[in-house]
Amino acid sequence: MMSRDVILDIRNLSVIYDTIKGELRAVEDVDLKIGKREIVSIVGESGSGKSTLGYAILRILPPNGRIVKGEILFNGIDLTKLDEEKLREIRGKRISMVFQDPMTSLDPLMKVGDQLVETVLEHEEIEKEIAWDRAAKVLESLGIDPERLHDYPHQLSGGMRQRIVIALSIILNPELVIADEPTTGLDVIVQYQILELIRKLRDDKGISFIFITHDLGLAYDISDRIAVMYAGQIVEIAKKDKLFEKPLHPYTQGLFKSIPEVSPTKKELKSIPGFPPDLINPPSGCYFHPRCPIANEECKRNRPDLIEVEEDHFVRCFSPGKEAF
Amino acid sequence: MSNNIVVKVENLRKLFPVQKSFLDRLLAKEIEYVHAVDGINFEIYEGEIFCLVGESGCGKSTTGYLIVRLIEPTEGKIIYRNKDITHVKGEELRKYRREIQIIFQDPYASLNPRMKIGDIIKHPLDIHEIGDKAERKEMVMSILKEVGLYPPEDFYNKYPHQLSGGQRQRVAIARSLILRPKFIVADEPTSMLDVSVQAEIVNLMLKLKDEFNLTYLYITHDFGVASQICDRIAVMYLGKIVEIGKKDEILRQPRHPYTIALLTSIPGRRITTKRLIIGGEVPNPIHPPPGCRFHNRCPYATQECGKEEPKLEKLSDTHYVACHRIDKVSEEWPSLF
Repeated sequence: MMSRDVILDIRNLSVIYDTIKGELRAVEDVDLKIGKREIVSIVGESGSGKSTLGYAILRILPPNGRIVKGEILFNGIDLTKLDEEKLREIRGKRISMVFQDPMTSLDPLMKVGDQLVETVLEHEEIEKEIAWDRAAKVLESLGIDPERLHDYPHQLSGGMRQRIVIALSIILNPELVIADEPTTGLDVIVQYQILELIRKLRDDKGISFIFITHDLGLAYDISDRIAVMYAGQIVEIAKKDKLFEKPLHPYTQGLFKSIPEVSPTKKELKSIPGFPPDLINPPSGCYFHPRCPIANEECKRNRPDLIEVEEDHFVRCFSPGKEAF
Repeated sequence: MSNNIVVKVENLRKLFPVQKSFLDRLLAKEIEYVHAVDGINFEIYEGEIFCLVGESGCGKSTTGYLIVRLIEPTEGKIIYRNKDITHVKGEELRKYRREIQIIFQDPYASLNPRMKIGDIIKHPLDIHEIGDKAERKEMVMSILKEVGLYPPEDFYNKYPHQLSGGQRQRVAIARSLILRPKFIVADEPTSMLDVSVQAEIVNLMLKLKDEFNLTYLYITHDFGVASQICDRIAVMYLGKIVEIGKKDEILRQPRHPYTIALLTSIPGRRITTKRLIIGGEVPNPIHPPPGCRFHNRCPYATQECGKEEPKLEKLSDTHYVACHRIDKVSEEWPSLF
């Protein structure tokens, strides 16, 4: 990727949550570049730090969370160093977020149209009528009847609500949208419709997306590249086809073996033994070594870096590509 | 799989009345109903895993609750080993409940947070007055081992909040098996779990099925899970079974457009690249569409589809489809795999 095409460049980012038991390393040493018009998925299981990474970019971490290290360069501006006022010009406007549960990101007491208008007026000084017209146009561009502007969220179906949340996220023409499990809770057919919508927004408006999901299949469908997170770290990043053809990290391999495929032929589902580590007292060496079938002495002692082992294929493992599962 | 029918449902219906507002009552408005399960028929054979697949709100969980008699059907029959148990009460119902158990979706809600794991699993033994104190403890210890919670003494005195999601679901499975039932309704037992944990629980359920000679009704929205564990699959849409057949028949040659849409909308790298894209969302089950309930979203629908409800038609001894347009669908979708 040429550097001028990079819209977001995360360097060596670490996030900590202060808990009563101590500091929890939610995100550790994350390096990630997002290109213009690119869709990158961040895949991981619960507790892997994928959502925290999303929140950290927009600096909307919960009160006990803080960025302790690293840079988040958005078009060259380090978001970690911006004061709140400058950040507000970017957050919601140039980078926006779609949350998992549309019922909690929409105000149940406000009409959909008023919520869209409010978002516009928050950032732009224009007439309310003009903002309303823009809201109608945005809905139309998403294939939604503008009449819906007069509805309250409870009057809409689950899929329609999530479309409205997406409309809210793009009404200010952002360059980057962070979508945190935007289709979780939706059925597959509606999920497919939402994915189509996201693809269209990328194609027509050139928006980049960070797509946070626990579903590797979904990541394959929507993204150009996939980053796999485990215990707060990115353990593997590659173009989606490369990752699916030949996962190099043992954790990614294990994940693939545990997915039940839709196929008339049976394959034995394999689970990954053990549990994700306690991130307050993480294990020595590689965080995956207690669960890794091919771990050796080095893995127990030293922590592997994220290394480019093939072109555009980065892995955090001392024995990348060795069959572990 | 044998030919012995364990559970049979005949024309099973469940309508939930919609709560009326005070104003509606004053105006004496007619009561409306959610058509959750609207006249379904199927048989489950001894030793098989029978999957009910469908999207949220299709009535698959309601069907499971009806079979374990957690709710009362509006109409129809539930037959367990040739005995009509639709309306059994008291002692007879208790006897039935020893043989038929349910595992719920959410292991965070289905375990009492104030009870110790040992007591949660022991509870059914207390209710059914099986064994003395020492025997009960012995049985709990042994089932804890069976579901992979080692060492059992450690888990016996823990509380649910000290366990991971996967471990909790193991506890729920242990509780459902403690009475040595013959038939288990598993209501999306892995849908709240991470995929690597899901594999663990699915494998555990397969192991236990063999060890305990169980028959499963497995309810899921995930065709991946269904295709990996089921013998037969029934696809539900808006309270109706639209297609039923052996796993192979459903996956290779689905004949209902809805089944095809579901199968081809599943994300991931796929063998078939052709997709049946349908618009809209599942309609309101209070006023299901007339005729075929899928007609307003179906790309193959004709005028007839909006008028007459299709009956399940026989394609093979095991494969049945409710669609007026089978010929057209077969032509367009000869085979998926």
